[in-house]
Amino acid sequence: MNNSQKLLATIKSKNIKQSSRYKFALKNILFWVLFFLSIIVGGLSFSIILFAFSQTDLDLLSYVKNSKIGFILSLLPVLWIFTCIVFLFIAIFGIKSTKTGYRYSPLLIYGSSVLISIIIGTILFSSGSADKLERIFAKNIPLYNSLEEQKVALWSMTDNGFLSGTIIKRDEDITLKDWNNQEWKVVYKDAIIRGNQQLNENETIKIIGDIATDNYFIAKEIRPWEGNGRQYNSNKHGGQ
Amino acid sequence: MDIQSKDCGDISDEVLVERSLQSIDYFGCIYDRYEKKLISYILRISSFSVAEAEEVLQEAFIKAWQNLNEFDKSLKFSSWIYRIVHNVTITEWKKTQSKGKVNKQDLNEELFHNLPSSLDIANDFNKKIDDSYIREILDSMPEKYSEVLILKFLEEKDYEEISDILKKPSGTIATLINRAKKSFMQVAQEKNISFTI
Repeated sequence: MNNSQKLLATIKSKNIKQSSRYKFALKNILFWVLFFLSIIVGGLSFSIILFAFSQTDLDLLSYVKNSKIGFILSLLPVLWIFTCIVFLFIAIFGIKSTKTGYRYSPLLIYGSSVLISIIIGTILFSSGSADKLERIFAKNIPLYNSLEEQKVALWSMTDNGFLSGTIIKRDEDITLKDWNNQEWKVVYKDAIIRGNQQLNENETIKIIGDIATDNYFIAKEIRPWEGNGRQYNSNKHGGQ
Repeated sequence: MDIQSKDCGDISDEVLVERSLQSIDYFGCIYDRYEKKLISYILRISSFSVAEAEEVLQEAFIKAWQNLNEFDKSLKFSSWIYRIVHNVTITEWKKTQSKGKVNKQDLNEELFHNLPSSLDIANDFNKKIDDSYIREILDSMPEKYSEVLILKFLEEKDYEEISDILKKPSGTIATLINRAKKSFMQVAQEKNISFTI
């Protein structure tokens, strides 16, 4: 018996069957689906990263009194950066695992995956979907620390000179209720008022300044809760 | 149905695959067609004995039989079967090595006679080289380099075929071959093996 006869005899005696062609086709399709889904998730994450940066007052770094590195880390949307990177790698794994995926150069695979995610992310961010998506996450995932919560935490770092909350009364000073329902007297006569705000009751504001004594805060700059107000002309309170 | 190799002589690989899916006997023709080449390839990328290489080839063909529906007609069949044989051989060879059962064979056949002349195309090596030296150099090189050199210069595969066998992009293969050539000459120098030009 020669070797080919031996081979055929083994296959017949052990009744070795061929795998279905549909199994292979399905496997190939699944890897393509994995690639596209991962690219989309990467794009969604990227859109939220853009949204997070658009909401972040990056200029605050110059005001920070304590650890700057810790502060930078608190500003970064770490979860979304991590998600974006992980799904990019999954997308790359997906396309490399397709039947002909190995033929594409690594540069093409990495470049196109990143580029597609950036395009999807930018479109979602520009259309305002990133904001909605982030809110959906915040509402539905109990352990998720939303960007809004991160913002509140950042603007409650009174030791670093950041305070925020709702105006409950304004006369010579502002009486402000912070997010823990603690009341503060804010001296703002020398403060720069950013943005198109009237400092009316029930308005939510952010303040950069210093703690004077317990519950007394000397404001250097007041900003609207949304954005940093730099798109508007600023003015000194004394000039109002 | 009993089909002999002589009955398959003029039939292309791809048609034989189609027919094998209908009748297993055609699969024997494919085996016969590739047996010598692939045994030789197994011996080049491992240090199995001929008997062990035959066992490995049987195993690889059983795997090919199981996956015959996966064969992509955009590939050459030879690339596909080389890929399977390559993977099975490497897996089996690593198993042997992990068991500490390294069994170096002295190959007296002229398996390597093409290599030096192909390696230095510009200078055209044309002196007779001791085959065992080449074997020694290849064994000392990283696997990623020796495997491309063997495929390119001993199996005489082109870049696209090597790309399909090793599942790496053609550009990567070209880079690997260039580096492998340099690595080959470097190892040769380190071992004081000189190739007379």
